[in-house]
Amino acid sequence: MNNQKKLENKKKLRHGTAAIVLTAVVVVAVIIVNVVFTKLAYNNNWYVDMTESSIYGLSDDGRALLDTIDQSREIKVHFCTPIDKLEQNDYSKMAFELVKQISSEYSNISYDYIDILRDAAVAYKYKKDSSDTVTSSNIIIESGTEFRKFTLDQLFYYDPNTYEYWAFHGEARLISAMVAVTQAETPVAYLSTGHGEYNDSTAFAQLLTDAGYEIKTIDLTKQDFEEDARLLVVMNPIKDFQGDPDNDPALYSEIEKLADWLSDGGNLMIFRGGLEHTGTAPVELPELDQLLAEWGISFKTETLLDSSNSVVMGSSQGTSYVLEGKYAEGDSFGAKVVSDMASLASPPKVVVPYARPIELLFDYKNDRETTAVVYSQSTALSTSETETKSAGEVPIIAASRAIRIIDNVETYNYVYAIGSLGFAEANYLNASYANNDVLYRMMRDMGRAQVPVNLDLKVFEDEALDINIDEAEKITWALVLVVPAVIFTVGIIVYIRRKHA
Amino acid sequence: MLAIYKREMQSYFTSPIGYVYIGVFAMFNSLLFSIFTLLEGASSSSGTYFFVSMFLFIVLIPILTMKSFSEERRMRTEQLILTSPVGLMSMIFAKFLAAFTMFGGSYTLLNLLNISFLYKYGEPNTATLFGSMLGVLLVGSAFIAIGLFISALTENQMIAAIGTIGAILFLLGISMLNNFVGSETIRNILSWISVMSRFNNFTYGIFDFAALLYYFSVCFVFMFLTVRVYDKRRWS
Repeated sequence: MNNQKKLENKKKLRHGTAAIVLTAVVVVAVIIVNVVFTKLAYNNNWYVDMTESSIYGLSDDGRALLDTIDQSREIKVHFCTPIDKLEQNDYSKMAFELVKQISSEYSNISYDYIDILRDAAVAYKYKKDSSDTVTSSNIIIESGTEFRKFTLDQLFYYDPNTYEYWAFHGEARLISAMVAVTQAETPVAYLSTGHGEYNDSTAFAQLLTDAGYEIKTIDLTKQDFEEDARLLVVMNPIKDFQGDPDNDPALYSEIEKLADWLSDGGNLMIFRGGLEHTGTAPVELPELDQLLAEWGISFKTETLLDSSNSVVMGSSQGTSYVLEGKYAEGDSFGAKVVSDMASLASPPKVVVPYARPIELLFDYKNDRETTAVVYSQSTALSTSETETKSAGEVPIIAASRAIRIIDNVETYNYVYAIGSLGFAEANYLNASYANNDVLYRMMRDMGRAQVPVNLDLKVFEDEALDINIDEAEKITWALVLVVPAVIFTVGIIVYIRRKHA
Repeated sequence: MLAIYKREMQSYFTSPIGYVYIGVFAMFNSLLFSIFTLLEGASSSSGTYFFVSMFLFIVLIPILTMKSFSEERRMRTEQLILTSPVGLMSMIFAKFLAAFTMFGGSYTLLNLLNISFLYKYGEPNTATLFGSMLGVLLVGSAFIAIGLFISALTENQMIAAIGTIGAILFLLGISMLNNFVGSETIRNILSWISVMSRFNNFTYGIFDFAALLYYFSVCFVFMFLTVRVYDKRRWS
């Protein structure tokens, strides 16, 4: 009897042990399969992006630009937030998923997390100057000794009224940075000096840096253009450039240097504002004006205002002088600069404060052609010291380009005229407005493209409902009360009938 | 298996429990839908609605699963199950399927009604909407499997319900612990376990195959464990 009991217990024990082992093996096997598959799916991006604008993916245009990068150049993308926390935030996830996909497709591009709190030396390395900071929201693109640093905000457009992001612009920004940091030769943008220029816009300087330029200053009365000069920026001069009215062969004047350099393929970006908030009226600069006239551009002396189409930051009710511009349309090269933005269902606003009208003196002359890039709105008025009158749609940002044939290839160089100094100030070079992108696109056109920006904005899906509150409340009552009431009623009927059946 | 499935489905609709479940679910689900979409109007967010609606499962899924096996034990009818020619896995799968049909059917039909208003007053992305719905159904199926397992462990329906509530709360809340954990390794482990972190991708508009496998695995593991519980009873 005891032996039988012992035998039964032994069988139970064997069976029980086998059952436990089997259970453990199955559970562990399932966990292992999941871990392996999750890892593979993570590394190989085994997911389907169901959003309309493929927010989480890399576009074919993006791939085409990344293919232009020398594959032997290592590019590192540093996130200053832990990777798992990036994935928990809607917006940082977009940036991270994009970089992850790029990294999976391009072996020379990788990403990592740097702890800026623990590793102060690393954080110090990415400070541009003593006043700069590295924060946890930064994304740093690095190759060799070159790097570009972004905050998360810089990768999005946001609505200045609601302060909500409405589009993701990270693909253009991040890929342009990757291209910029791998350029073998860093082109130089010179800021002219000696004419009272306003060269204090750090936001504009940052833009040039992000576009891949090294920034230097140049005093053309004392210096000549270097070989590496790609772009000259003239920021609202209040004194004229040195000319040579007597045709003195011993004098190589500023205007002559500038004219020759432009004829040899240099690019000029000139900002000249209207009546500034300080009350200073625009000055006439005959030598500079004459040079610009050869390129078909003439800055008028009036200042534009528009009560119907003007903005201030964070509001659509504007100060009249801060104009909301109108994008050029059509097939002109000026319209192509802004076509990506103009073609959106809700184009971002381009803001031109204290705008001066620009007259285009010719359409085409001596292998140079002109076009408008941004106009004022039809409701614009122009004001001068003596009168205010209707101005209508006039160019406030314009372009002129020269066509040259070099080795049987059509090559262009540009003069971009912006009739506003404030256009490039920090207030308007932010994610609320399109000013940043207009300038980026201009820089793209200047000689060998530094900034590949022909990448579409990824606009977020608009979930807004066009429903008034009364209607919404009625539907709510119907769904919350009527539908459940019907269900409960059916249930009660069934229950009573069964009870009495 | 079909017979067990039919019997289970009948039991939901011949007793008040099915109607109470669907009625309560319809009421609160529609309320959440209205709060986060219709009443928001221009700020409508279907992703938030789908995310928040899962917290209804804390109460609703235990209602469905609490009696599945514990009732059988209490009524002493589980001997019929244990001696039935139907395999244990088939029997358990049939009960799971019945509970999932109740949950999935009512959820799908009610949401189709709700979502029709999004199409009437807006332009939603169909793929994202239905991806989110699928994500919710997958989460629900995982919770049902867990609920059935807990129901198999006890003959007391209340204990089964409370146990399931606890398990669901744990799985839903585990990802919130990430905010308090300094170690990235531990955060990754918690995220791996967390149902919510797997679900979030669906609300972003991402159909994640790894998440699909995860939910299927949870269903399989807990149904397998339920089989093991009954297998032990059969031989003890």
